[in-house]
Amino acid sequence: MEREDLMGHAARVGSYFEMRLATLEALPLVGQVRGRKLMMCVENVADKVTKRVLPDEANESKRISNAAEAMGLMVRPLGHLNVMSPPLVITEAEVDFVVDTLDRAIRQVTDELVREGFALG
Amino acid sequence: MTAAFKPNSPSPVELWEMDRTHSLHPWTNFGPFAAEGALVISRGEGCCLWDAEGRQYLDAVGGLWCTNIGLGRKEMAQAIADQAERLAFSNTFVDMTNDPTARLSAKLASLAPGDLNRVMFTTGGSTAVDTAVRTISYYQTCMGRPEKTHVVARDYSYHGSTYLAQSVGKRPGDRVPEFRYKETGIHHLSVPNPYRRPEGMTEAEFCDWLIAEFETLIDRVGADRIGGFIAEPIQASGGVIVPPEGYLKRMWEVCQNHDILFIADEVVTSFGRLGHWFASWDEFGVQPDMICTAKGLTSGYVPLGALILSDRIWEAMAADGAA
Repeated sequence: MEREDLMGHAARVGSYFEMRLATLEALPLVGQVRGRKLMMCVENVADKVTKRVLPDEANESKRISNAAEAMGLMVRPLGHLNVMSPPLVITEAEVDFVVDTLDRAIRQVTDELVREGFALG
Repeated sequence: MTAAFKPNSPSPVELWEMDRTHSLHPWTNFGPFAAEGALVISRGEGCCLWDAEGRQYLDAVGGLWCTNIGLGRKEMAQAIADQAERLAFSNTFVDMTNDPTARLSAKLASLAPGDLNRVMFTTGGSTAVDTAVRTISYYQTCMGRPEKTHVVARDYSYHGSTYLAQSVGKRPGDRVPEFRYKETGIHHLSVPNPYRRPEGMTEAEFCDWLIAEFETLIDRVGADRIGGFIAEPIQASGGVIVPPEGYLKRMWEVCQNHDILFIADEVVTSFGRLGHWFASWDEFGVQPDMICTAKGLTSGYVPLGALILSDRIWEAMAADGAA
């Protein structure tokens, strides 16, 4: 860790991860992106203003992690959250893959939820 | 019904079936598990995993907040192999030790903030927390305060899975009726989650409210009975909760005012996740009395945790035991 300055790398790539992941707050399903450096999560909500969560049967965070997994990305579903804590050695290109893939997975699951009649917004 | 044990290179489907039939996973959803089983992971390198069928994944979960230096490092594998060959085990009770214990405890003392210079190794984070909480009553008794044994934690905290650690933690989803939890002497304060703070409160007002809640609890229970406060600097499994600005430092100050030990559960936040060896001081300006660490300590290559104690705690225990 000292030889490769993993603390410095984690701080730099972690800031990049924070910045890139924050863009997902623009998605209708995302209430908040939070965390610091390489300890981040996305909180899913049914309504961004009231912060109302989806009913349990929507199971949206597990469905998002399943959709991401099918696209080659593992994120952790936890309640209404999708949590990420990648290895410190992650590169900016890998961060781009994580954010872009999670973006696609959230959009896909949002479309499914709308089709199934869950009230969003 | 049993799945056949296959010692030599079982196929992916055989692995899946052996696991499905015989392995109990933490937090299993029994319904889906019976039908779907588990994803079998067979190889890892850097941030990538490959399943038994050869499909590749980028593991943004980092194992379980823990594969910090990345998987598949030959240097690590070789060091583990060399140590296993030289000395696989010797006990560290009373007055015996071994080279790795001596070297790693000195290294951790050099990395940990302030006077955190004493290290007790454990098998993981849960047992580090368990040991920290048990140390509260030991220390306070040595200090002549045998009633000062209660511990304060927060809602939505996760501190591990021993009986004591699961009782100190309090994630809503973990509090199932099938388990039993120790309740005597354990108190929980509100989760410092700014996103879900009470309506109409600014973040600063919310922080004031949280501090006041702690002080009210101390008034009610008695400063002579509360011996320790345990907190993850950022609550991890409770939902990656970054507390309001200044919260952790002010909670620490309350502890200082009442001789309450401040235990930082840094099992997740230490070893680089926030860009520091330890987050308490470098990220939040707090000097804990004890730090619990694990996970990134070995990046998952071997199971290991540690409780890092202050010289002050050591000296109190030593003075009491000197006779």
